[in-house]
Amino acid sequence: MSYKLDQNIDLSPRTNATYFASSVHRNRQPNKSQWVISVVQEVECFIESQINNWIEGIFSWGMISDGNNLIVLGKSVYNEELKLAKFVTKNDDGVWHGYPADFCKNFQDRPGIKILQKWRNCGHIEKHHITKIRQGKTCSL
Amino acid sequence: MQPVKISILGDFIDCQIYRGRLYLWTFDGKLKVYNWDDLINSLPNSDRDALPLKFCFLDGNYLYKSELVELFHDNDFKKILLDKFSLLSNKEYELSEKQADKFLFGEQDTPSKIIPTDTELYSNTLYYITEQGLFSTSAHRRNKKYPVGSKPTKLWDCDLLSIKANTYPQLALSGGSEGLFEYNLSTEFKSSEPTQISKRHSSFANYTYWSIYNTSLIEDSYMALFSIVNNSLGDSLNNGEYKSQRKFEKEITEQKIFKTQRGQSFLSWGVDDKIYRATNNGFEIVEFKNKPNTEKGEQHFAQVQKLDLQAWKGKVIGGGTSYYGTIVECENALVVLLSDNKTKTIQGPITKWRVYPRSVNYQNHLHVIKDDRIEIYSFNQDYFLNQDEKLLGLKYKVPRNLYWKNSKIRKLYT
Repeated sequence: MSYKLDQNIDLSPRTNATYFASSVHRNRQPNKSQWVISVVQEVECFIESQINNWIEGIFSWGMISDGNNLIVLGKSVYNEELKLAKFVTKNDDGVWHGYPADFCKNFQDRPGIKILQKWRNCGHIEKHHITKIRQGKTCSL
Repeated sequence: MQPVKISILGDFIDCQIYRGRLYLWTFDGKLKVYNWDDLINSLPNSDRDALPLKFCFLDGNYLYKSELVELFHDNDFKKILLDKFSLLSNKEYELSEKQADKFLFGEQDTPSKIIPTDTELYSNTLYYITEQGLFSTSAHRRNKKYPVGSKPTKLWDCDLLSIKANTYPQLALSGGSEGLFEYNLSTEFKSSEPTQISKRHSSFANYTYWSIYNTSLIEDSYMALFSIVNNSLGDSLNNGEYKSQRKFEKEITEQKIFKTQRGQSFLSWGVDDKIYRATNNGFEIVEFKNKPNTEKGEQHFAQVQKLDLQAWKGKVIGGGTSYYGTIVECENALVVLLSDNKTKTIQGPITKWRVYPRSVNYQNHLHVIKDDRIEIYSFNQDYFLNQDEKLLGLKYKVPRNLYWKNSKIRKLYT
């Protein structure tokens, strides 16, 4: 399966949402975080965030685990490795797009405590990751 | 001298200790408040342990008394006390959550029903932050069903990273990329909204007397230097009284404080009379003078002193200081650089840690929350050291009178 960039992707029946894989997070724009995973992985990450209800209002949060650890999803504008993804929808049109989230540098890239609690309860992260993410501190996820 | 340690098992995420009560926030959103004095008094299994346990965990200020300093010059007397602390440090004090619950004062849902990102207790008020902003509610209540108020007041809606209260009634607020702010807690001059001190990035902050040392994990750290300006009321009816105003002077970068060039950025932090920086090669210390005697050529910052020790591995992500030493937070460990120049490493992962330098009774505590417990350490070597000569840890001074009502000096904040 493959997906095209900059086009709406219908994800039914797996989810009601439509996804837009934006090229601005793949074309080395200096002020945008960049995905290092494939578009297919990006979309799968989004679908997982929806199915697992890692949703806070118009935001959805994602990660990819290899069974033991979280994998690197992307690079920050400072070329640092990122392991969390943030997905956003606007105006209830059901279309989402996403990017690798830099919780150390950007307050808007920090998931809320409810999402972090779910992740810990699922075993994806540990408790000490939660306090570090909430306070913008580096941690090895 | 090894510290004395008490462990309480449980799934905790934050802690505070204040006026005889231990506050523990649980991961599932409860706030448990314990009668700390009763818990400690239940521990000794012999009379000989009771007194040192009290010094360790209930009255950390006692052994700083100037009358006792003279006694400590007597080596025999000093040895008796050292032996007592040493005996305690070899004992294991571990309570299950069920055992600790025998000393519960009360338990409730955490206010706002959201686990706080950071907390502070000051003047019987709990201040805390969540993603929704800054809140306050009453604490140290007599109500066992609600030891803290269950209807908090929202003070501000900024998404903050950390908060820190000062001995003087101020609260420093670190807003990440939003900058550094301050909230005046004085009942007389309480501000409706926090004041912005700087737009530069703030991860956490600490007070250095009236000034604020701002630490950033991604940009340069700096000191926001304040001074106290005395203004005469200019009125004969005031009998010589005067107003003191706390006035912002300037920002001083860590490059200027540590005399380095831009681009050499390591984590630095400051508390009261000391500013510390942890580098790849060691540890640097600058003594801060709140009121330098400029006529004698004194400056705010003394010469940098360096310690060739690097007891930590990995990136430094936090720091703090109390009287017994300085704490360096790494990703997977806490390294305590003690005032007697020894080192204590506490292996992680560390969920949260706290020191209480503002406290009168608990300034020798270090609280460390791990995945399945809280470890409460008491460090007791500092009582036997010359406070003017030590490099690591705050210099102990007799607590000033904090009762403003009796003071003839009224303080205004600009």
